[in-house]
Amino acid sequence: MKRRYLLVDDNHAFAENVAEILSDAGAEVTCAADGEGALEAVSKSRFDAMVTDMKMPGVSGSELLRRVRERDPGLPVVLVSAYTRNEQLAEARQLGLLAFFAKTSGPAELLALLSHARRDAMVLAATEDEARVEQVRETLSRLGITVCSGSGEVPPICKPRAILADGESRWASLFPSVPVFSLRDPVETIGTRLDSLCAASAA
Amino acid sequence: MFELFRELQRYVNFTEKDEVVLRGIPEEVHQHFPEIAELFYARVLEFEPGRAALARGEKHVGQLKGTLVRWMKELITGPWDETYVERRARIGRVHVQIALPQHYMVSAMNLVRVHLRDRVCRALGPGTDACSEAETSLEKICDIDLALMLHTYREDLESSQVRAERLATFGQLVGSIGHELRNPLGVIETSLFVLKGRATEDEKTKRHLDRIGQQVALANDIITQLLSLIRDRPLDRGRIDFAALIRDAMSESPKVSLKLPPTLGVQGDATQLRQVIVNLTQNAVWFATDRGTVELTLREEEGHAVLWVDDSGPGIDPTVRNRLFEPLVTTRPAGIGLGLALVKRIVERHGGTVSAGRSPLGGARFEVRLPGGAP
Repeated sequence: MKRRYLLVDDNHAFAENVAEILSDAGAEVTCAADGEGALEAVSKSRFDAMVTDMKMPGVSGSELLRRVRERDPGLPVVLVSAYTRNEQLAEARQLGLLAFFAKTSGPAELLALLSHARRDAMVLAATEDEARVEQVRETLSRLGITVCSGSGEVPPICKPRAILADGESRWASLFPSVPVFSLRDPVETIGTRLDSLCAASAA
Repeated sequence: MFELFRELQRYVNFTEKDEVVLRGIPEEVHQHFPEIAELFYARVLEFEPGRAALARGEKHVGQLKGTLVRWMKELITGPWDETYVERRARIGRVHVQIALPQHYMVSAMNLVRVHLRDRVCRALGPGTDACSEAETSLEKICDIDLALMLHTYREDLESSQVRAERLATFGQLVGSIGHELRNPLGVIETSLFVLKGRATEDEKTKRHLDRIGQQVALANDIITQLLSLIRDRPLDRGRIDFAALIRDAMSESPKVSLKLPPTLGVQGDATQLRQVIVNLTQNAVWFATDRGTVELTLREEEGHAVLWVDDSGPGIDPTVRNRLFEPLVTTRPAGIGLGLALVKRIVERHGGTVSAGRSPLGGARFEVRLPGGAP
């Protein structure tokens, strides 16, 4: 079956190009020029992943992500932005990103990543250690797994498959039936465990 | 500056009478000036910051002593006019330019004052009225001169504040432009991807597509450098072998000779420290040209890792020496002036220092000191 992607960007030329590249690769692509359009599309239809810009008129990428999580919590989201660092990005990471790309990083990696994106495959990384989260995210994104991260409040709309903690985490008690893995384990080990966990539940 | 001088004269009550008293100081005192200049520079050279400042200076200590002798002569004989003030200001600005710390200048000036007073009184007879009169006038003119010197430091501070404000505004502007440029670059990049995916046998088309790709990557690099300069990327600290990092970073630069210990450990961000090594070496290689030499020396000194990047080029242009590590300062025709600013920023965030001076190879030496030490 064809993979279905939602592409959100107010830069038409960029959106058209990416859509063309994804279609050439055999996917079906829906484009939206802003957050409102994207929310409408998400309400109507089910996608394998959403690719969104961050800075857009009206609803920003991170706000869009928050609202999308209310409608379709299991949707993998990739952020592609010209802005590689700002507060909104931190918020988006907390809400769960499959990956983040700079707009100039080229489409090859995006293509590969999207083809592996898994719906409803999210893990909560309970830590303030951003560098560690990024290491874990990098490995897990290649397996199609989305990481929500933070240390204070649980991201409100994240339904985790597992919790990754670097010590005692109060998040663990909030999700008693969810397995807890140690963030101190090698990234590859974490990846292998989660891969089989997600594969088992998908089957 | 002359206005300030006039104001200071009024403030310390330096009158024509003082001018007459100073001019009346016997000429035999002049023969002591070289010896006082010796004492002055001995004092300045006693401390590391003073030594470092003089090492940065264009002029040799011998020349500076000559200037000081002339300075003492003018102090006593005048005329105390605009030229006098201009010359004082120029000397003060040299101190600022070589970054001689203000307090060393003050204490060394005090030494001159004490010795001058002593020699003058010996000539006029200690305890005499003439001696005490001369002492008073000497104190006044020394106070004025010190104030002029300090004023040059203030001028420098004010202009660096103006520069800092300009840079802050500039930083915001660069941030927005840099980010916004990534949008069109992203479009070019993706269009290129589409075009490259379409099989073509035409060599010319292929060559130009590659060229577009290379230039887009270059543009993107410039933006990334600009952005990394204006933002605070957190350090990804770890224990790293600085010697191995240098060897690795220089593995494709066979013309750079390396004098490295087998290992030398520091705490730091490997990616960012590699940038320091690469930026400094790129400059050195450019200035040394194909005919010259570039040498990287690493050693441990008092718990610090000390890296020297030496080249046999023309040395540091004196017109930019003082602002070498500021953004957008460059003497390379194609340079954008971000490399050294980034080096300074990264090194300082590691708790280290970077400085520039003369190299025994004849060109420039950049010294990076990082806290760390043995692995």
